[in-house]
Amino acid sequence: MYLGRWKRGAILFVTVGAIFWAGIALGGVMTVDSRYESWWFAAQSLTGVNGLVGWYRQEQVYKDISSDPETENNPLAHRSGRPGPEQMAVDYELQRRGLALATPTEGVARAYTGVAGMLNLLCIFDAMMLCLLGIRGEPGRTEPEKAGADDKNREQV
Amino acid sequence: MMAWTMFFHPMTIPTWAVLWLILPLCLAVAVVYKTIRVGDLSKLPRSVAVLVAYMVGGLTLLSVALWLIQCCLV
Repeated sequence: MYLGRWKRGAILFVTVGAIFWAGIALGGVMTVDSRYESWWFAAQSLTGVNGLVGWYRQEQVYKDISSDPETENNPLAHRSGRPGPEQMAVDYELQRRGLALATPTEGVARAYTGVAGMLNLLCIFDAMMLCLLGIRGEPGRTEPEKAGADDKNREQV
Repeated sequence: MMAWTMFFHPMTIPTWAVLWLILPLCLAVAVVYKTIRVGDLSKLPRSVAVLVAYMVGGLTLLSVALWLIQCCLV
């Protein structure tokens, strides 16, 4: 939008936001999981504010679980082996609260949110390139500005 | 039984419905890619439709090819 491409900016904003929140609607609050799904989280966080809100919501769930006395009493919290006692206890709690993601919802929800992040990265990269090239506005309207920029460049040379 | 809350609890998706959920994803990819690439925004719906058709067609061909390979191997 800073580049004067309001319509394109609005379309991209709505599409990336819609696909991210469609993923959250499918997978629930634990679709964004910074503790145990770090690679997916890296992709999801590229959606900016959307990813930040998703991270904050799952962090609230983790805080709620850690402050719950039932988690401490859970026998899984004291077992050994993989994937580790803490993760087992957390998974058990998520399952008990109906928040645990299971196949095929897990794959679909994480794909939606992750792809939203990667698409946003594409938009950021494109906007950066346009900025570096000094291109502003819609393609049809940039010609006089471009001509002006070319004249200035010639004067400098 | 806990009350189901949207955006909080996960949905139960039947396995057969997973393939249909590729379509919105393809649409989103096509919209974002073509919004960046297309010169004239009035041409956006048509170019998005063409790209979605390409992607769905490509995925269908790929799935048929993989299915045939699997049939040959088994």
